[in-house]
Amino acid sequence: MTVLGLLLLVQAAGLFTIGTVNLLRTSLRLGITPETVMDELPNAARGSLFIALALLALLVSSSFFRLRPTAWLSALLVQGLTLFFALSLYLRDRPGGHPHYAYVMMLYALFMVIYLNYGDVPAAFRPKPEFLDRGQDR
Amino acid sequence: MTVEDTLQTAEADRALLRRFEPVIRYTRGERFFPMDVEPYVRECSLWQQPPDEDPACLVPEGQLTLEKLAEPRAGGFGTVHYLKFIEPLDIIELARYQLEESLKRKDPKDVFRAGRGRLARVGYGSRFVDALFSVTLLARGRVPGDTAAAAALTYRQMMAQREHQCYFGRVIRRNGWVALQYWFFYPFNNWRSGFFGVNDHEADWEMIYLYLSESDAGEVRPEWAAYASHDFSGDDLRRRWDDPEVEKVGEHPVIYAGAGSHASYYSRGEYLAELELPFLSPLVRLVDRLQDVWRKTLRQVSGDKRRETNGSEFNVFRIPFVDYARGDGVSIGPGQDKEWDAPQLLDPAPAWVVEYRGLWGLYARDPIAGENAPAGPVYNRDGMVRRSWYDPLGWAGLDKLPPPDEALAKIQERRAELEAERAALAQTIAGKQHALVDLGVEAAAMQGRPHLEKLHNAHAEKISALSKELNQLRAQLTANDALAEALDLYAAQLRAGDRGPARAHIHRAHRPASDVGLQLSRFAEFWAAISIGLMMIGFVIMALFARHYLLFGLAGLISVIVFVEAGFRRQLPQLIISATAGLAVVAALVLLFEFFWQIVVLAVIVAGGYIMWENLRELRA
Repeated sequence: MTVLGLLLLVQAAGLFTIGTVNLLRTSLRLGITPETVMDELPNAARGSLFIALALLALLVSSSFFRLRPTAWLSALLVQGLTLFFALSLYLRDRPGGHPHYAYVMMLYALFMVIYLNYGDVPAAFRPKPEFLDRGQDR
Repeated sequence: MTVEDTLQTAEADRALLRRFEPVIRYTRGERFFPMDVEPYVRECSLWQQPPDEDPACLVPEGQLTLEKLAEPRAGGFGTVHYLKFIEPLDIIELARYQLEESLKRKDPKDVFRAGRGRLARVGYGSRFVDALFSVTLLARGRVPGDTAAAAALTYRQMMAQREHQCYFGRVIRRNGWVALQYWFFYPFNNWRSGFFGVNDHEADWEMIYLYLSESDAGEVRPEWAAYASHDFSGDDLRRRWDDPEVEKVGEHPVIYAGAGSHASYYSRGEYLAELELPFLSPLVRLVDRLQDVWRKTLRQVSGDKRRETNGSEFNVFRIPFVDYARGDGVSIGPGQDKEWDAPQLLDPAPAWVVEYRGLWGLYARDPIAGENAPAGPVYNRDGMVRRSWYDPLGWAGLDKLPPPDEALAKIQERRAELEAERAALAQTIAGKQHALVDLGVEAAAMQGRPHLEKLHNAHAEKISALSKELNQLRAQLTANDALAEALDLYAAQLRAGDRGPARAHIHRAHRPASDVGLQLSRFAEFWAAISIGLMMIGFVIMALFARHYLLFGLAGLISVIVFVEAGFRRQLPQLIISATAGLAVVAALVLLFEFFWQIVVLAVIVAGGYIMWENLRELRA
């Protein structure tokens, strides 16, 4: 569980960096005019979304360290959102070239999805059954 | 056997059938109950349908009798003989019946309410395929819409002449078992038109078996029950008499009959049945394989565990239908609302049973066969003999079991056989062991004698072959010992009165939908009914007014609808798991597409590094 927590921490740091870079890229453009403000909006929105996702990953990582029962599902949700954003970037910017970090995000989230679903990891967070079914069918 | 003996046997069989005759509990709103075939056949006409020709009436309505039905009839390959119960209706008569029905103050036991709809219990894919299935009904052959009402009217008229509820029975003695076969004939199956099910068809034959053991004194004791049901066979049909699932009223087993379908169930409830359309079979297989790879090969968590309890995993391309076996309606049987008439014996089989191989109702020319009437108790629709008729034990997987009273004797018999086998094996092993030692000594003596090289080589070959043979014999002896020990333990267990778990033989069991699954709000049901239509309307609006954003818009629309539904069905966790898995697959494909060669190179480098690492580790060790 500690490993998963650390991996999520790394993911949070990565997402935060991407978000910050996107936001800085917008704010550093000093020549923004009322005409070009609409062009800069996507970068700002993208940056904000990544930072929000980074914060979520940070929260989930802390819940892993504290062994919260919802940690596994929350971690999966973070991976789903990361994949969704990465694929959106990939599809939206095609064919004019898309940011390379989208691939890194995909790869990392893919690894996390497999790790989270592998073997006994999900079982550790599954709630214990409250009652047993009658009979033995198998 | 004299005539008197035959009569006595028939009377004894009838008494046995009577003693264990089942109680059938129906769902409210059931219109048709088990009846005699004679009045039904009198209402029917007999038809012949040659392939690629118009059907021809052989015997018109009012002239058909059971004797006439049994007359031999020739026909070319592909010819279908069938009965026609309902003739095209007199519209005035039907209108009068419908009006009477709607005005009649109905007994609560007569009114069916679907309750939680089947569509609310399944996903969007299934709902879409279901809509497709409804459309196919327009194209393929089916029982006309007003037939069920007309059949109900005719049934009512037949019952007005002589009200009765009856069954047909057979007593078969085989391998120490006494098998009681009960057949129930219904004039009509209105599952589709009456209870939102898969099909309607004229005539319906349903069947159950009870298996009894018989002591030397002739005392019989019920041991197993097997109810014919949708898509189940062999061991899965059978329940041990002491299994709590087999409900009983005294010595009478209780059957919960599916509303309209009349399928037999052990427990009351609502059963999710799945229909697989032939043209969707490849997709069904594909989804099954993908689910297998996801769960077994990749060892991933399945997104939808709801249906695994029924033995087979949920498949979006199978159409869900609910078979309502609530048992809250009329009950037939000893001490119930209605009692059975005296059973009619099918042994010796009457001529109408064995001579008539055709269908017992309308041949609707439905390629999926669901709307075609069934054949009689002996035959399948293709005219071949049913397994349930010629193999009463094998049909329920009971042919491998002796009756409990004979089990101990069988064990002793097998134990004695094993003991004899063991002695023979031990003797063979001793002889071969002796020969092997002789060969070994001779081979050792030949070492260092160059002139004996050829003989030594021949010895070496013989030693190798003999060693191998001895190894196999010893393995067989060990296995026999283990089997003998297991037989001893089983015998001790039986002597102590322990027959082992009652349900160990069942691989796949039908279970009613759980109460948890039924806790859906009215809104969930309403939503299930409108969601697919809403999605289609939304799609058209987007196609007309926002064509540029059609793809994204559609994805958004589907996401919102799915999210809303998952929310009130308390299935958000499943949704997150499934959606993430789907996105992960897409991302993997994107990465593979964009970086195919880099991935290949990386894989080779990693494999090389791993091999190097393993080899170096070995060197260090």
